[in-house]
Amino acid sequence: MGIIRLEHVYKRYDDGYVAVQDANLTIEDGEFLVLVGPSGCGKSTTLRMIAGLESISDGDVYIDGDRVNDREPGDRDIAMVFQNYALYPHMTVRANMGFGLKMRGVSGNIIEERVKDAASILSLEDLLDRRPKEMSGGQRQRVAVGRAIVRQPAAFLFDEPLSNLDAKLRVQMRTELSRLHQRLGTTTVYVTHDQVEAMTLGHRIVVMNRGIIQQVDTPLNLYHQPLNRFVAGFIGSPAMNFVEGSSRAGRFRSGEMEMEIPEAWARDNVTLGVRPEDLKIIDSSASDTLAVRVDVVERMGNETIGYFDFAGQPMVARLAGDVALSPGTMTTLAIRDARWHLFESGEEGTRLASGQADHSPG
Amino acid sequence: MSQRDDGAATGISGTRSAEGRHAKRTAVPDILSVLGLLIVFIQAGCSSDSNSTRSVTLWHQMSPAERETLNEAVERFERDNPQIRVNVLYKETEELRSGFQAAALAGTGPDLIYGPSDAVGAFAPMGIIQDLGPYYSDNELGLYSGDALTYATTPESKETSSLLQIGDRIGNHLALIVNRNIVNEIPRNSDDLIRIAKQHTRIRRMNKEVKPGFLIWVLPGLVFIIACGLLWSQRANIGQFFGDSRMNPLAFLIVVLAIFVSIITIVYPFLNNRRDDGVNQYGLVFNFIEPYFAVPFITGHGGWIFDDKAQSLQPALDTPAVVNALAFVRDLREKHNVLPAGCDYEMADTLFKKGQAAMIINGDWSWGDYVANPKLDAAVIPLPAIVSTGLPMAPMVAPRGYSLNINSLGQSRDDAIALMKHLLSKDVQQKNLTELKALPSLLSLSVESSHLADPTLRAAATQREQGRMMPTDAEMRGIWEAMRPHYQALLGGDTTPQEAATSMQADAIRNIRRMNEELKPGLLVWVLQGFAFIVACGFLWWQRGNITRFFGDVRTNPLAYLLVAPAMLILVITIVYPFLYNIALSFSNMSLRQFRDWQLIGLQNYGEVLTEPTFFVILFKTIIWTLVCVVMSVAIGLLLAVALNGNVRGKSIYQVALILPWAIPAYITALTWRGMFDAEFGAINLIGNGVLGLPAVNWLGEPNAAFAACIITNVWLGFPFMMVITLGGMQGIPRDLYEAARIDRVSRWGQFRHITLPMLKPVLVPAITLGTIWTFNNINVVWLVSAGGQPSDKTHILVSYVYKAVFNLYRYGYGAALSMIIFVLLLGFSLAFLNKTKATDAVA
Repeated sequence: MGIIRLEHVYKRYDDGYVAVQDANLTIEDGEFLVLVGPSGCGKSTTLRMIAGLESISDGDVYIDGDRVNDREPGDRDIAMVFQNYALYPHMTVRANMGFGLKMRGVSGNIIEERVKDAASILSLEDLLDRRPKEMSGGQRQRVAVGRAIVRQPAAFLFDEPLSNLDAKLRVQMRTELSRLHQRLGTTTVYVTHDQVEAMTLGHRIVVMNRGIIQQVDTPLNLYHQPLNRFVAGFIGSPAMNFVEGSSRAGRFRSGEMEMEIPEAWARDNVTLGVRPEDLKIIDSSASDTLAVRVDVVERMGNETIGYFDFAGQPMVARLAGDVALSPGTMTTLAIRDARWHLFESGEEGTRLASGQADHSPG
Repeated sequence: MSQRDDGAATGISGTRSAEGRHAKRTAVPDILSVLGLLIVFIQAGCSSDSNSTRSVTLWHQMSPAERETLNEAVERFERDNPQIRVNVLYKETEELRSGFQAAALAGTGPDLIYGPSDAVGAFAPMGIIQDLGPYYSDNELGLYSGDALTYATTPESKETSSLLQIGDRIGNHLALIVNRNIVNEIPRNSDDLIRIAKQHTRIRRMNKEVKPGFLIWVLPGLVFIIACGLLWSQRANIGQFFGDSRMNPLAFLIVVLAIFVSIITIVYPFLNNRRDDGVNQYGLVFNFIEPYFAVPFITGHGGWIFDDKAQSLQPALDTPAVVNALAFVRDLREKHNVLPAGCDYEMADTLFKKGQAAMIINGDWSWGDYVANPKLDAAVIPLPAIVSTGLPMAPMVAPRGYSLNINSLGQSRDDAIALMKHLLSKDVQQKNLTELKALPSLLSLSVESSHLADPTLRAAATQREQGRMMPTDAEMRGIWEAMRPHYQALLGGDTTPQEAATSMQADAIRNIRRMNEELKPGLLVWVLQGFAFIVACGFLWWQRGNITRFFGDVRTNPLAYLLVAPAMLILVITIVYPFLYNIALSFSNMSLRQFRDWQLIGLQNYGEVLTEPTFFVILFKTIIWTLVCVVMSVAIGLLLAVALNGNVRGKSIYQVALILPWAIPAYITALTWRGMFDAEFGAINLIGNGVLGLPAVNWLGEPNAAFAACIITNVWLGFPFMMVITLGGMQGIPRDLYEAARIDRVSRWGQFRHITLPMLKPVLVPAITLGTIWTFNNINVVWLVSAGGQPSDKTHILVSYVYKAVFNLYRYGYGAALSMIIFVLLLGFSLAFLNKTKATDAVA
């Protein structure tokens, strides 16, 4: 079992800074939940409050129904993997992995057995007698994961575990973690600032900004139905384009461009959001197309990322690999299949409407 | 800039040619002379010598009052001889002695030195002062009291004695000074003395003195633990009081300690004031622990330190008279309780000046202050007679005067003689007599009875007549060194008068034999020199690649080497050369009798060191000393660093306070601790015994306690360094290691044991190595806290023992061998320790 529940959790520091504000969250047994957001958004603090490494200023944290606010980290039945691995430098891999069990008075035989199991899962068998400084970063992080596994806790907590690894290793470890979770099925809370990691690993994702939970949802729902402009901008790469404009009499207007929107959302200032993959180049211009100047062209082979200037506002489009574009020329962009969102203006402006009422995959 | 520059230039060229022509040994003094000239340059400062002025340098050891009249006399001389400039430099007696020896050996030094006649005893056999005979006619010498003229044989004069010092005053003797505000009768004899002393001794004694037992550590420990336990149970309340509800236990401990210390420091002065209500008063005080002050008791009992009847110089310490005298002195405290325990010079002086002692025995240098002190009404009177023998107590009498450096030649010698004659003249002596009450050496002044009107002078003169001239032989040193430990052991109750006298005699004979030992080169010298030559050649051959590369390098980068050259030169002068010189000395017979003409003799010094049981006893003590000091410093430093590394309120204040012991000069700290360890007036016994009721410990009088006192002082001096180093190391330990440990349910101790300690290893290993070397070689603390190995030379570590061997018994070769052995021991330790702990391995 491993159900973690946060109820109105706050973290305030002595200097008055509020790191986490009214966090409410239930993490189901066996779920892989990812906390994501820009640095300083409170995701790590939230995780550390679950771990017991930070005190909880207000609200309650429950693990399997027990309020754990006042429990020491060692008494919460959780295991944690740190960004810098945090392996005991003078202990062998074997000792590092078994140390938590030893401290809990587990007998030597059982420790040996569990360390062996974990080592075989993580293919660490040959490294058991090495010390941390004799291993590579990827190997160290596997040991850190192994140290968590042998404990067989109610939940794993990961604090940006892959950010110290190089890009290739990160991708490899990501799939390994995914496989590991499928195999063990242990409740997992995972903090990252990398939205790709979040999207690929999480059953559900918690997007945070400035200490406040913005949205908790499955990866696809976050992508297709962001609750506000922040989530829309944070999820997806390259990030969603935002065009500032106004809506009057059922029409959105921004400079030369004009398009139809539902009447109900008439505002002075609204923001139109379009994902780069939902833009295409067309030959003829119309009122609801965008006349843009080509700024930079990045060719990836399978696709081309085009950077444009629309009346002083930057736009990005993900286009076909062989599209003809040259910087400095003018071209016309159109929105594909009415895949746009309309937000209230402001960083966290609420989503008002979407072009396709239901363009989620389901 | 003429004469001196020339001198330096010839000195350098002399060096070069000497090295070519002669053996290494003759080159040595030449190089030294360059060094010496440098020293003289520096000491002379930037005095702008024009071509016409000449200068004379005088080193003296006069007290501030005496210095005034000296300066006046020197000014008058300079007025009369405008072409001569006199450089007057004060040096403390021992500093003058050792400084002059080194400078004279190097072929330089002051022209004149002024001091007590016993210094002549060492300078004469070393051959570093000149015969004054040629510069004084018999008529001139006839004007002086015979006691003022010091004769001795020098290496040059062989059998016949030379005149080596002429005194300007005769005295330096002890007498009794009575505070008439307390005592209004004069002791006629020793019984009187004791009766009066007892009558005026009023002491509210502490609990009975006992030696430190096991309990003394356990009791306060228990009290402290219980107190901490009580406070810990109340930590929540206390924490709230300090505005922090989550204190860590170490921060808590520090706060408790801080409160404890502040309470004591606030309470202590009140207690001290109460004790000072004139309740403590002693009948008779003097420098109880120094054998020089016991001499009048020996003479009063009919004894003398040398055998008067023997032809040659024979110590006579194992006589009934000395035994009786020792018993008498011991009983002053043991039986009659008239003076405080461990009473040394400063304590006696302070007590008398504060009006807390009825009588004091002290030397003529101190009388002026006492008589002039308006609070005292002091009177100087001759020491009384001992009842059992009827003999007066006779102090040692010695002239003080001027001697001429062997290196003072030509014009500067003539100038120096002129200055000396002036300073010995009637005018100057008359002034000294009236202003300083110094008894003159000129017979013409002595016969004038006018000064007898002055009661102090009258007493001084009478006392001088009763006194005995102090022998000026170098052997006196050996006598004092032999007497001191056994005398102090007797006073500490560790031996009987008879045993002490027997041991003094045996040690005195041994010391004199050692001092006069003239070791001759053995056959082995040639073997050794050959061996050294082969080693040197082998080294050059082995390093030939590097050496040729070096010269190639010099050719390609001359500027770089030119820029490095000054630093290299200084390194060679200050480190390489002294080191090689010390190696040479350790194989040599350099000593009192072979000072300027020492030779290499082989391994005899090493043999002597390694066959002496004393060496191994002291080595063992040194190891204990080092071990305890380093372990305690590291432990305390680590504890405090752990505490300060956490979240402590007022952290910076604690940090500064804890680094303070380190920031204060070590000798001040050491002397402060010495004061605090005093058995009767020291803070430690006043608090421990007076406030907490623990048994009083005779810290400085009992060998083990004195050793413990040294250790405590050194730990106090040592822990801040370890704390700073550790604190620095702790900043580098990643915090997530501790977090991982908390999640692994590792206890605080476990975190310390498994994270902090291993992570600190890279900083602690070098710190411990350095700490060990420093502690092993830390002469200051031992020397200052135990006043040079007291009591009874039982607190020595190897370096202080070397110091004593070298500077007190003039055994330079022996001392050099001993220091080479220390060097090898430390080198071995450092290599082994660094290798074992692999300090260079990076962790993580």
